[in-house]
Amino acid sequence: MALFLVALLTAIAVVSPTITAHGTGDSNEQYGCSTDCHTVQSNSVITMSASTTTPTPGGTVTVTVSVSGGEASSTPLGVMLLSALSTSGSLPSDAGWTIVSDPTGATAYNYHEIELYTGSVSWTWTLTAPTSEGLYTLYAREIHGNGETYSRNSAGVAFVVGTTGPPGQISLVITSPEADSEVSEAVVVAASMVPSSDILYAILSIDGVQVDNKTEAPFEWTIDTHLYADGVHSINITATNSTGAHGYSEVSVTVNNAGENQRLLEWMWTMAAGTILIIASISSLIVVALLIRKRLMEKEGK
Amino acid sequence: MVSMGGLHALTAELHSGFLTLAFFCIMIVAGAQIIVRLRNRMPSRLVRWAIKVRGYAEITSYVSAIGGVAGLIVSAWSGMYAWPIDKLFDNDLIRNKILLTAYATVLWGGVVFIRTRFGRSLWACPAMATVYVAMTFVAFGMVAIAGCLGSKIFRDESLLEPLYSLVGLNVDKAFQLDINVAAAVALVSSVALIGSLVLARRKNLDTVRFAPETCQKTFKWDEPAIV
Repeated sequence: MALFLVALLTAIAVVSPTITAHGTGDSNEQYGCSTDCHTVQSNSVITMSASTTTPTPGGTVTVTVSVSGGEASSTPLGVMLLSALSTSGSLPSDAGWTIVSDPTGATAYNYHEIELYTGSVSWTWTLTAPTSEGLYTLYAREIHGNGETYSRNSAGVAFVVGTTGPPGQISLVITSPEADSEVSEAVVVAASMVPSSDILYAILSIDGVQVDNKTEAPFEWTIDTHLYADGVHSINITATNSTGAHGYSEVSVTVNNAGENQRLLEWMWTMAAGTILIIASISSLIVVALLIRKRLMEKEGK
Repeated sequence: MVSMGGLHALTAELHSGFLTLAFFCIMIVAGAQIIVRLRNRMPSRLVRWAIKVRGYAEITSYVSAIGGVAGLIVSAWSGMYAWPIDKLFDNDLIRNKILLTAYATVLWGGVVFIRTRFGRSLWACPAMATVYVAMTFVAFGMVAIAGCLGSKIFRDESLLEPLYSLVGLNVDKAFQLDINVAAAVALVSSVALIGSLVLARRKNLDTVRFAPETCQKTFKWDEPAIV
């Protein structure tokens, strides 16, 4: 019996289909090369951090991308480091970055992939910053398969190269929600700022109407999207620091609570229909069993 | 003050244990019944062992199935209060777990109903015993998948991952039908349910009582009594 079980489990493991997330192994990949097929939003969590957000021109920066959860257990998963979320010109080198080493430590690609994802990864790229001073952003995107072609982008990390920030200006990036994304239920609006010290206030406005004003970090707000009609809305954040510098960023998102409500309704209908189906099946099977019994007993009686 | 999270964990363990015990006991009784029915072709020691074991396994399966259903209901109830309600319905994986738990509760309720309604004499009627065993199989499979989804939610891994890949089942996506399809399924099922009840009434099947003198004699399967 034990041998049979071992053989069965081995057979299952061997014949399980291998779903390639991207299929190219480690390589240099543009954002656009995965957007035609990896269209389903993964429920994984992808975060990015950097050793510094104010590197000197040509200075070294270490970027760590962490992925946890998602649908890719025991199947391949890949992560690409990008300088833009556009179909071309999205390699870090397109913005002046140079990848010194990727997570393997031996090569310098922007895309790294593993065959067997076990629930969480944390990978590090070492880069040298662009030689031109200015504001830059890096993003990470994870892609995988396992039933659907999933992907998820991280919030961007903003870098100010060469100075501690443009004079008289705060570099501000809305890190959540993603620009042009679809949101429903509760959504977290978050911003990162460079320089991040001595912020006097950060004002969150939606559709031009001030929603809240925060005077200290974290600059995060949880917004109930039910307060807004389904459709496109603009979210903007304005910040001012003690030196009088200002920062501003705006993203557009699409609120779609009707879709979520429809999905919930479908799920409840599925539960009700399934329950009635099971009860009807049990009832019918009992009646069939009793009819068989009755017929056999009548035959026996004759 | 009892923590709902703690109560949910406790009752989850409780119903898993009870229902696994019920499943294995019912399978043991089924195996023992076959051995006893084929007693002329079986070693006498094995037949004696089967006669002895099936009686204890049968009553154990009934008690543990009742305990398991009670545990399932309390576990579902405590689970609703252990986490914020909006978080429960936000995640497709959790929706699937709730769905399968509901189905498993109905199926195990059916198992307990059959045993309560017909008593241990159901084992003397091959058709009813087949329905009973088949239903136990499906109910246990359902509760096993629901349990493995719990493992996937909390530990992001489960024993059934290779099986999901093999059959192409994506448990991260909510199992749901289009409303029109679900309504059609509900309608057809309701008609089948009402039809079966009407048929049972017309054929006087609703008053049937199983007893050794009615089943055992005809089918030559005896009851799994404790001896």
